[in-house]
Amino acid sequence: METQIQLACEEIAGKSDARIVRFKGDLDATNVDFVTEQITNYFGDGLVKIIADFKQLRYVNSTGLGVLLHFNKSAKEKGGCFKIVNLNENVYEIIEIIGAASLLDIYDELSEAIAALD
Amino acid sequence: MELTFPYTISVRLPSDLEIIPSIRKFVSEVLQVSGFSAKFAFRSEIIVDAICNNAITYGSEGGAESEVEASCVIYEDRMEIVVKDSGGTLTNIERLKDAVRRSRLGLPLSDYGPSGMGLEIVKLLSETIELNVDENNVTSIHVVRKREEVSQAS
Repeated sequence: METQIQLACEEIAGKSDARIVRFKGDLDATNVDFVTEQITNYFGDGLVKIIADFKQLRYVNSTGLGVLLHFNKSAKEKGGCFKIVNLNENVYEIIEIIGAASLLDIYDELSEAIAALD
Repeated sequence: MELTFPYTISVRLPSDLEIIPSIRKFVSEVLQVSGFSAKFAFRSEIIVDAICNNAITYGSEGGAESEVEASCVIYEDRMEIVVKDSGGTLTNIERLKDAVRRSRLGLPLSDYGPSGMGLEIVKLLSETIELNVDENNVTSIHVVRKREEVSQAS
């Protein structure tokens, strides 16, 4: 079955160790391995500062939430960060309900997240 | 179309995670057609996803021949979901019992791996969750989620 998620990676001017990764679709158990592999590869390539743009991410299940926490922890262990921007209201509320909002670096705007990379 | 509550949707799923997105989206659409809010439907989608995922991953030891039965009963004021697997190992059943009994998010979030939070989130999003295990180690999970305005008023 076709994966329900697409990731697109973009460089950030003047930030050689950072990338914007745009998520499109649903993040769940059927594609979490694919997403983990992609993000882990970025970390392995020295791209330890990731801004995950969730503008087109409709849905995240419990497996996906666990993986986001894992990315956040792994990035920090490597001296980087995993920032999330443009969360939709439904996904944000689930993150809040489980008490993860304070654990994740969440920003309203992409420009704020980029500015916070410094 | 005039809907008469309650009504039931029942499906038998192959033991394959790939089927879950179609099921959860279908339930979400049915709920919205039935007058439940988009937020209720979204949260119900997460519940359906988590308990089907759990049944397929831990409760279907028979490989390709295994099946999971999912029933969703939609009332005017609530939704009830029952997901029954085809029998898990004793270890997995004990883990399931422990997960249902444990207090809500009893562990720090950092202690949960990618696959450990499902039932915890179900507990946070629902009014009740019950687990039944029969003599053949077939487990069924029954979850009740009330419509927001009913839930807030009670």
